[in-house]
Amino acid sequence: MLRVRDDDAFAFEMLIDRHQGKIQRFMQGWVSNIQQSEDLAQDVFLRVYKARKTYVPTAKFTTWLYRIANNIASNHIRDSSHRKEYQLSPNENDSTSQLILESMAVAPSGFQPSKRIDRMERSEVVLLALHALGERQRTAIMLSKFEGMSYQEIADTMGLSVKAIKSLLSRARVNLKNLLDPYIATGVSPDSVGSNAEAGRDNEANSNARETEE
Amino acid sequence: MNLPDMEQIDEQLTAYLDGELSPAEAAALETSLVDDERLRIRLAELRQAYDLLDEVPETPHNQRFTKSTLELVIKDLSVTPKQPQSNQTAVSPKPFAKPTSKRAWPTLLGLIVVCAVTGAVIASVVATIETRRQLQELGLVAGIHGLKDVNEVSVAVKLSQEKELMAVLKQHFADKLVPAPPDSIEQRKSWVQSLTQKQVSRLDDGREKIGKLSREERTRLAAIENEIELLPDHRQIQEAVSLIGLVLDGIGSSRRNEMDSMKSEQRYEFLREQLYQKCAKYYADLIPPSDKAALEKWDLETFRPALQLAMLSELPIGTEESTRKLNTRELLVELLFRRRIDLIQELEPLVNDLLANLSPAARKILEGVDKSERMRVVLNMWLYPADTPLDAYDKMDKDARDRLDLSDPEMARRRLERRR
Repeated sequence: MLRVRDDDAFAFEMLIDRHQGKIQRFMQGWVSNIQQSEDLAQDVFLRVYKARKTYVPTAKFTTWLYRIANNIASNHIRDSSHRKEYQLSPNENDSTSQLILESMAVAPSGFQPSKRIDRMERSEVVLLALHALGERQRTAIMLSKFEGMSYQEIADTMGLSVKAIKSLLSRARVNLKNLLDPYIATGVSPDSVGSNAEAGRDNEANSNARETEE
Repeated sequence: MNLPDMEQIDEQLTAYLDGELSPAEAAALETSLVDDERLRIRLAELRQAYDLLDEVPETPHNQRFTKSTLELVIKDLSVTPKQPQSNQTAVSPKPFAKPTSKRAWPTLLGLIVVCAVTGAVIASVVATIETRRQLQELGLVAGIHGLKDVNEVSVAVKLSQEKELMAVLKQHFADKLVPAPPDSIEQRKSWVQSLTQKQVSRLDDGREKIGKLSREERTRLAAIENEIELLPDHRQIQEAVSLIGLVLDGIGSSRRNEMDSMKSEQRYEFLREQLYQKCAKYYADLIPPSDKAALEKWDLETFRPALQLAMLSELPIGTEESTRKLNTRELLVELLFRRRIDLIQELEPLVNDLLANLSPAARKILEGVDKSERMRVVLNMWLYPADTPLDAYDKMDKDARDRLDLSDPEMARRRLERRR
């Protein structure tokens, strides 16, 4: 990154090559559309390039990179017109995919949601569960699992305390378990996933104040 | 157990799974896990759901993505008025337009630049490190991750002498390990060219890491590297240092930072323990057929009969026949659910019977791990890897599971709840 900061075009290409896969996967945790996740990932690299002169090598580069990625994803979700279209409650801090899960859970009886899940790949079910988590829990668990970041690094990336991250990750794991439990037990169970999505989101909404205090 | 208690327990279990507990905290939790079945099940459940995230793969590398991103950047630079860059990170991201034919010239310019840089990644690395000073520094760059961990030449030398350990680690990290650079500065240019992309990335990480060090720290680590380069077996030691860095990258940074306050001998013991633990895990993917056969033979002829005997002392009279039908996995699950893990631990000396029939590498690994860990390595890593108790329970045949459910109504109830 230091070479990118010094306007080294080769270094920037290498940086894109090295991080593109992970950043795209990170974005898939936020949006269900592959093209959208690719666009958001491109936006991250564009922002990295624009902000290159502000990069100070006091923190790990990936901390800086994912802080940008997190801001872009979070802003995208907030700005998304889908949100206005499907939003159930204006106070809740959730994503479109939660609403997909909910809509599957309350689908009319003629529509068989379980069959829909049945046809899904396992990774899609996992992504749906990930989308159903609150924003902070989702970010924390993706940085932990996919990027192998320590609690300290996640805390630096998200601007929270290590104590808050410990608590956030614990709740993220529990919510993920609750969301995926029916799937683990039977292979299919959209109703539980849908209703648990609500629980996962509420859990985060209730805990946001606590994290802020911490 | 009330809700705050449960939250605290979940936090501890999560931190344990993430390798973020101190050794004392981890040991205390492990003691509780042995005694508390509900805690073990909770741990397994939290791990199982989290492990499912492995189903989401990293998006494969795509050259088209790189090209279109570079085009996007060039286009943006050509159409956006220059702004003070310090404010740019705070600006909300705007949807960006893909290059269109109406703006052919910047696209063309982009393509020219892209063509010029595509396929030249390695050449560019060589181009940027051509100065003599940078070439001289390659040893430090290649080993920086592990150098900080070993911290002293004597620690690096002692660990590099664990030949079997290093051979397994080398096999496991074959794609990422940056070999020791040649002694001749002239040869180093072509040496860089011979590296794979992953190795070049690792070098680049090293350069970035060095850039963040204080001047004193950099000088101190460079002095260690220089001292190593003067030793007769320096290539072997440098390689060991790089391997140590790769292994330690896989543990939590708080754990890694614990070493900061350690003295030489303590640091050596800590590193050795970590390396053998990880090595035992990596070896699970490398086990040769002869070791596999020795493990299975030991399981069938030595361990399983002893386990059955231990089990029979636990079961009501009249269940001998059905117990003898259980395989090792089923016996282990049953003992776990009956909270009699201690019976497995009592059989630990049986591992000695296995040692004589294993390859030198496997034998050395088992001798290298802590004695209390040997049985876990043999059973959980080598013989029955990737099985949580619940996985193993699910793989049991119906008769064995029914018997277990009847013997443990709580488990049966949990299972019914899951199905519902």
